[in-house]
Amino acid sequence: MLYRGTRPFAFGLLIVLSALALAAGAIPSVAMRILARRDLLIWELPSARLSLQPDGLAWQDGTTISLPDAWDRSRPAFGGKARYTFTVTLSPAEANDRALYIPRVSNSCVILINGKALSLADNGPIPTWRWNRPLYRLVPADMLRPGQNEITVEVNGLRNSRAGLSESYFGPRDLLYSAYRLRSFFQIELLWVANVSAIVLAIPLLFSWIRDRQGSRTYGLFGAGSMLFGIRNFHGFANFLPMPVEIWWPLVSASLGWSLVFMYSFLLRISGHFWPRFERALVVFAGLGSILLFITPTVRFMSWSPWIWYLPLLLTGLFCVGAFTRQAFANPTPQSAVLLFGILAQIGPAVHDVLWIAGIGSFSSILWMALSYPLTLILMSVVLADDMAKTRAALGSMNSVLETRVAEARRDLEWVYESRRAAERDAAGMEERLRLMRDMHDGVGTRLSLLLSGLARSEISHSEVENAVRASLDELHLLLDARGPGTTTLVDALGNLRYRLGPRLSAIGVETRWEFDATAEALVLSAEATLNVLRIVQECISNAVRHGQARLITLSVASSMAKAPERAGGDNSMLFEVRVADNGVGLGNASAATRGGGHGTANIHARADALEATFTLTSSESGTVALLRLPPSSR
Amino acid sequence: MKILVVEDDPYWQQAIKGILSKYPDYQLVALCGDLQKALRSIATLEFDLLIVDLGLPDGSGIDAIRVARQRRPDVDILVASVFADEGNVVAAIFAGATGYLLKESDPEHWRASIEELRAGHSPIDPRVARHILGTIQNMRHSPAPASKDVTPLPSSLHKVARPGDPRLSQRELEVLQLVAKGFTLVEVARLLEVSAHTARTHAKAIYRKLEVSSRGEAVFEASQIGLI
Repeated sequence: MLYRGTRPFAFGLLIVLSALALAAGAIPSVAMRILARRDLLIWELPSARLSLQPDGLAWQDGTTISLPDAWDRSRPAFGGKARYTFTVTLSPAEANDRALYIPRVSNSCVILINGKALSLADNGPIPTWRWNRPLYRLVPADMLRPGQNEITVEVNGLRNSRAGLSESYFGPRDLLYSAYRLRSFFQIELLWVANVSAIVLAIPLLFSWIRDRQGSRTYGLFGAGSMLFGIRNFHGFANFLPMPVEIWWPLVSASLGWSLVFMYSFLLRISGHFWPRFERALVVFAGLGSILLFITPTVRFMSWSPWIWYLPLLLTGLFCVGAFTRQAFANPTPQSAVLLFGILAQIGPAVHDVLWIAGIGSFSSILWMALSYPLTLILMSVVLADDMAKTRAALGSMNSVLETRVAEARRDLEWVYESRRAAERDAAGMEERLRLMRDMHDGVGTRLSLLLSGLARSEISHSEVENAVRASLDELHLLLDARGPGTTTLVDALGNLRYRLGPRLSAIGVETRWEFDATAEALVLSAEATLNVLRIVQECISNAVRHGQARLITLSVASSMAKAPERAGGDNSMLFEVRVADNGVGLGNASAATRGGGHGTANIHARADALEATFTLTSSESGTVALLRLPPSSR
Repeated sequence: MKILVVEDDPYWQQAIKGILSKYPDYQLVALCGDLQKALRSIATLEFDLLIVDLGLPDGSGIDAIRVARQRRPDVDILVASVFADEGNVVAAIFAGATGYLLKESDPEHWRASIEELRAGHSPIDPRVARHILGTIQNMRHSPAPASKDVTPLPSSLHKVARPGDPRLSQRELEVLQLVAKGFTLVEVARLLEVSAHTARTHAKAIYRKLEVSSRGEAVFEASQIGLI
């Protein structure tokens, strides 16, 4: 994203770099002028006598011609040998310092000095194939003589293979050698560097594509194009034909087309043009074009290939560059300006090379696009490095943003969790309150209602009011005994009850005892079950005092590994027994005045049923034992 | 016996006045309806027993207890509590209360509690014992959260005087644990094979240790708020 102030700068940069890039198109012609040094002109070989030997035929004496002689233009469809003979005059001193420099001779040649062959190889076999590379050879003094000398360059060329001989120089060794070195630098050393650069720089792009097929596809296309381009450009080095020209030429041409198709797709995508149909059409064109190149008759290849292959490729490239340029100007950024410079700088070399392939221009010209292309690649790498640096910076800030968000999310989650827990607590509290209200309504509420009703009808005495109020308070205390703060176990609750009733019982001469075993101490019942147990115990104590006239009441809780055949399952799990034993007169001996109507016992059984417990009452003359057996399910 | 009562509810004011008037040896020296009046009365009046309601309109009765304990170490302080108020009762014990009773108790119970207090016996019931045990446990494991069955100390106590560990003796802890399970002090004495008097002494000692444990911070806090 552009920030304020960058856009005008980027736009200016775009204009300047575009102009520079287009101006760079003139570099080849300037370079050629430098290569064609003025001080060489006096050493250029004069016009030559030409003899021709078409393939399989006898030598024919030709005419006098001047160089360069590009066969495609001077004698189209000629294949065979052409013998160029130059006559030079030497002084005895000059014979010691002579060399031959030929910027280009194609496809291969033999050189004769005064009829004797001049070795063309320092060591190794004599080159069998020369496409476009300079030739420089020292001419030994013993091959020359004072006065007139005859230099013959016998060129062997295939039909329609752009054979021919460029302007040639015969002169002082050092001067010619420096000219040869300069050309050799462009055509050999620099080409090596360019090709290796293209391949090396393409590797990380391709690697990123392999790692991230979708995200790095655009760079991957560029990498693939560069890699192919760099590899195929090594063909200029070949000093022999690796395969028959029928395959070699189509292969060299087709590989260029495919590398360009990759790069065109890259250009479109990097400028935001995702045109799948166009890209498919490019691939179809490359495929069909390649087939066409391979089936083109070799003798027609050099004349047809520019029209069926190179020119359409150039036009398509211009279209893609146009699309990229338009987008770059529509949304100028320093990155797009830099990239546009690199791309526009290719137009001049590309046009030059296509014209050269078409046979237009100097016979010995250098192919420039292979040399200029690394510039684009280097600029692309700069943009990519910038992109990576930005991405890393963005990732860094995104990480910190993400960390913040994660922390926020965690806080939110904790809040939600706490809220939910609070809600659950509230719900549990609400349920507890509802139970408490129901208990209060059933217990205290009912008693108070009856009391009010009695008072309203003036049917109850003062002592009845006092008893009713006391009973209501007892009811409230019972609720608190069962579920007050700090009351967790059944023993806690029974301890509360016993402690509360103790002084009252003691006041009427009844002693209470309280026992429990260690296992029973940990028994925890629900609040509702605890309340039921407490009511049962309270009723039993009340019965012991009122009906049994007990003087000692023992309340105990005990546990046992009881076999419980009377309960479903009959398992051997822990049973708990709550026992209220008194030393009263027993149920059967209760006087008519103290004997109850049985309501209390019925209530106890109902509560025991609610607990799924069993309640038994054993009575004798020496006392009564009330036993409540709690099953595991009541816990 | 001169009694100072701190109670804001007019109904309970009348009720307490009525209960105390039944006994000629009880002399009500003042009945304060709020904390400020209570603090002034504590500072100016002579009294043997302070009966305090904890919920006052302008503060907590615990502050009155603490100041009274600081100024008059010899007086008895009785907290008049309501149902299920063990948390506040224990906080009051930490502040220096020596006894407590339910407001709703009948006049005889009121008298019995007052006389017990005068005789040097502090009451202690299972709920209060459990709460004291829970509070001590919390202090020892602080800042671990309170166990679910223990009501946390009231905020006033947390703010003003978080007590230190009272360092109860093993025997005192046993007394508390047995009381917490519902045994009376007489039964506790029997179970521990000591006299009933000794058991009662332990109860009183527990009260004193709880109060002493919170005193240092309480003095500091009282001086901070300008009470002493």
